[in-house]
Amino acid sequence: MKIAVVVMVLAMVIVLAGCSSSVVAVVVPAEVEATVTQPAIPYVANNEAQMPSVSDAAAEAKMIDKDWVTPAQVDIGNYYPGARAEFSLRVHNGGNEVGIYDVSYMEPTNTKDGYSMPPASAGSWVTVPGVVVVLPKETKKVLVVLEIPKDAKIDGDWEFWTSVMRQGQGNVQTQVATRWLIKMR
Amino acid sequence: MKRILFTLLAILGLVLVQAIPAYATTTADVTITATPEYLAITNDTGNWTIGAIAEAFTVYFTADTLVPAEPLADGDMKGTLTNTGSVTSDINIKCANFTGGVGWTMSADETPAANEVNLRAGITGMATLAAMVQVTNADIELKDSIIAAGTIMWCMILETGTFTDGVGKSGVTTLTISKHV
Repeated sequence: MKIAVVVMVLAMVIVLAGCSSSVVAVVVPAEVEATVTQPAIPYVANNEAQMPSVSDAAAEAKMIDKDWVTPAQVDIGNYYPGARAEFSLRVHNGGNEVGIYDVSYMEPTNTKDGYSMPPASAGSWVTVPGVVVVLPKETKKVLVVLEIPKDAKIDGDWEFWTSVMRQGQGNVQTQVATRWLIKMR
Repeated sequence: MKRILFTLLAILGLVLVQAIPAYATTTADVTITATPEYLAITNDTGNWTIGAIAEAFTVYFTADTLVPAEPLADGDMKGTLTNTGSVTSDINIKCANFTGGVGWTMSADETPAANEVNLRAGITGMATLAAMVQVTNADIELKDSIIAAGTIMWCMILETGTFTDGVGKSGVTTLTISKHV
């Protein structure tokens, strides 16, 4: 009997030794696996082929002489603090000279129904390359990464934008903005 | 002894019961979806050069540099904005504060104060000059729901306040196109 008690106590000690002050802290959260293949970060030009993106070859053939960006909207679902989401914009230079484009995070001018303006810290959660150079008539992938700290508190679904603007325009300039809709888990 | 053993077993059971739910946590998949919709815009008037301007003076970014008639019509507009993308879109407009010397701040109303300018933008179809949008540092909608290949013709009016210096000024107006939702 004494031996049984000692064994029980030892077993309990072993179990408690594997725990922190909170039992749930025993578990290390599993790695998030996105449904698309993600390249290594930081952005490296020779990984462009691996970057997830969308395209419509037939539509793009008709728009070869125009500057454009796709997609117009990215939907990120089942997202949560600590997760990482990556997707690529595609920036096309329809001109005959090398184009330098500024890629930036921006707050929405308006949001889709059901989505709120981004939290104040959202700008620090989004990584964009800043500047991308595109040769004439060519298209470049631009990786956008969303990574929210594990301890971030977010209420409900929200939205942010990214803008792409060609440098060298006059004092009346244009840019395009992609919507990023974040649906929280 | 039995009581001690029972107590130990109960404690051990409680510990294990609390641990099991944590070990049951599963991998969560973040989903990312997108459709190949294309955003693009052209503007056929990329510059507005004003030259020397007086205090409390108004200049017009219009076809004939004069005040447009009411309602605003194509013939008076300065330029054309085209949605050259594939998706129905909205166009917003903003203007950064002017730089140079003490600078000019964008006025929030139609009465610019010292070192302020009142900038307004309008499109064909607006009933009056008062219906033109007030352009500031923050984006404001100029036109929504422009279909693919759709166009709008537009103009601007700039009114100065008073000046505290005579240094040249430069401002940049930005038109942003985004998907209409």
